[in-house]
Amino acid sequence: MNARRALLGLLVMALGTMAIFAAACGGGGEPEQRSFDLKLADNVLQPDRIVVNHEDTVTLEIEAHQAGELHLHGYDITADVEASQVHEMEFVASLEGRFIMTLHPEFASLFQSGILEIGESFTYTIPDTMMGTHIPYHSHLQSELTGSVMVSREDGQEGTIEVRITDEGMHPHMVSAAPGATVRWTNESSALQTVHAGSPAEHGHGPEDTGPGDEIQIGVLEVHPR
Amino acid sequence: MIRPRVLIPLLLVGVALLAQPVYAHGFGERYDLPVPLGYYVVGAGVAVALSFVVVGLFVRAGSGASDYPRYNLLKHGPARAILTSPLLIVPIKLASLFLLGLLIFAGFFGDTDPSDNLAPTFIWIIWWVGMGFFVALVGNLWALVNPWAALYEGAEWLYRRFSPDGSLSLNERYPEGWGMWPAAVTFFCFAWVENVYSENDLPARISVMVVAYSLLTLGGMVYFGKHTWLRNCEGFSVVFGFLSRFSPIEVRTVSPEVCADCDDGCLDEDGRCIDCYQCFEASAVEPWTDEDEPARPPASPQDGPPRELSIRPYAVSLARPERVDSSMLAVVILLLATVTFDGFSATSAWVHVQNFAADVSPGLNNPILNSVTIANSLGLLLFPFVFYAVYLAFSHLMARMVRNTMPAEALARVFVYSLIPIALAYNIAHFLPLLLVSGQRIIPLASDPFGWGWDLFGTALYNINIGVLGARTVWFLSVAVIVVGHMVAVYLAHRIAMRTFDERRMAIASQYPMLLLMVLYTMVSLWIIGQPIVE
Repeated sequence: MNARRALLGLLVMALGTMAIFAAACGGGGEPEQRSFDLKLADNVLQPDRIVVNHEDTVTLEIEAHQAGELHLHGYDITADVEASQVHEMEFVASLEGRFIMTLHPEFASLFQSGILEIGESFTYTIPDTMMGTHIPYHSHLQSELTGSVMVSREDGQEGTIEVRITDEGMHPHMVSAAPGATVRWTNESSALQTVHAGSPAEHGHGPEDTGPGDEIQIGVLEVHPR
Repeated sequence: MIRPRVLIPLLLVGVALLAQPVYAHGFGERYDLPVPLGYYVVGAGVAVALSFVVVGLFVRAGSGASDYPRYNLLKHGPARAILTSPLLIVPIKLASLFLLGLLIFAGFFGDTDPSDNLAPTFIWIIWWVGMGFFVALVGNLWALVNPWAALYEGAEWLYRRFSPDGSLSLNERYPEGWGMWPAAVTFFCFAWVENVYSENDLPARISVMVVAYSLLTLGGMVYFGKHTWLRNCEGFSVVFGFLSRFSPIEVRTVSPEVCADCDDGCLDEDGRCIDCYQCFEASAVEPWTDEDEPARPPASPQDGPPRELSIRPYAVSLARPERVDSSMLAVVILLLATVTFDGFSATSAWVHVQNFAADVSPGLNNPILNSVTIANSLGLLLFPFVFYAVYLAFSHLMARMVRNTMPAEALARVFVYSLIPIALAYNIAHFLPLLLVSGQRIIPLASDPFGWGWDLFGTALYNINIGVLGARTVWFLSVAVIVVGHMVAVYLAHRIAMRTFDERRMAIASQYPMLLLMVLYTMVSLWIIGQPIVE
């Protein structure tokens, strides 16, 4: 019984010491104005880690080279960004913790064919700025026909890449293109088709929620206790 | 519903688009900062220092007694009447059954977005984490609310109305060598779903798994008998049972005739029947009870109530002298290993392994089999073996220290329960923030369980409060809980040693390897909570 009591006493002392250490180990100081310049391109945010203290006022100046919707988890702040624009996000870091920042990339503005009759083709030349991205696309008139273009300098094909639109799907379903290459879609199905960049959800048809595939983690915000 | 032709390309695009490897890690978003180095170092230092203090105190004091003080809640008539009353117990079981049905319905027919559906939040956070905490810190509630047991009991009651002498179960003889191996298999499957399967948050998938497991469990209970199946094959009953040995509530049967009928051989080496639910149920018939009689302390156990529902000190039931066979050892090792893997798989060290696996295994890209899930599956499979190998190595050291009076394998089995507090402490440290933050989702979900826009209790628009625990509070609690768990583990190992070895010197000597193992295990736990979580 004595042993047990002594043990408990020691444990309480040890935990008490740790608690005092924890409480005393505060940085203290006044909340500050913190400002960060970020660049968003090719689904990458630079810098991708932002560290501030609790109750700081944070301003993020985001220079975007692609379009999409940014989402700061935890704080639940969303911001639509457009390519070649600087967007500002300002908030008070009232929540301590580690919050991821994600991007729902928007490709809809990239290319959009008109209505393709059977046998008609549509071409799109891939700009250098899209390097390293996957561009999903779909047929607006038959939204289950989808495919994607992976833009890669090393693995991508050059020249003209043929894609056939058939009743079953896009053939080939995924192509790898180098920047500067041209993708040509030909309608070989039995109905009218189009080629629209972006996933069906972006255009309001297809599944309601954009699904896990459309959200990319690009960075993290750390709010440390003061 | 999403058609495969749309879903698969979306998934392919999605997996390919992600900048970092994605993997499933239970469910629920986390916002906690990793524990800073200072906390980790102080915590580790305190844990080590206090361990030596425990050893030192035990050298002088020493306690080999295996029984412990307890207070029987069923001693007094009124309390007994309330606690064992069908009016209390039957509604609880019905409620549990209703909840199971509700979850299955929600999974199949509710919103497909995991955040707006009751099933993922309830099962992964409230039930798996919450029930795990409850059974360890309060008592084995699962034994009471197990919906499959309730379903079976209901079916059996119905069956008995038509065939009073019959039994719903076929009562087939449970094969000798099987032990708890089936439970190890079912629990491993669950751990795989929790840690590896990337679609484990999708409501429809959850419902399919729940229905499949329900059928398996019911079939098993009918075939082998309810208690035999639950005790040996039902993964959750077994695991929650092990965790609840830490808890301060137990059931005990003090009736040799009842225990003689028990399938399990439930008596421990001191002849006590503790936490055997079969005997507890069987001893419910009390021909001698007179509830108006004032409570008197019984002259001997046979004169008293044959069953006890007692409050006891924490952790002591882990040090009881029990026969631990190799299947039980396997389940405990599996429990410890999967808890640690859960945390380790979120560290950047593991991401390197995943990237390596991604490099050497191209091509595969479906939700069940891709480079990430293969790496995680292999990890989940390997961890228990590595754990076992390390534990066995230390057991060999222990055997050496006691001059081989007991073989290493036997020592491993005798001491394995003392490691449970370390795993439990890590579990609490790791999951408490999740339970308190993401667990708040249950408040809006209770009002709108299927995501249909309901508002049953007026809480559908509740916004979860992320700041409910400050960062420093979380850091301190995490380290403190792990240190306390470590101390309890060291204490238990000493109690076990004192009753296992006749010579006190030998008992102390056996503890040095054990102490080293526990310090290492605690360090690993602290290291994991100090790592930034990789999403």
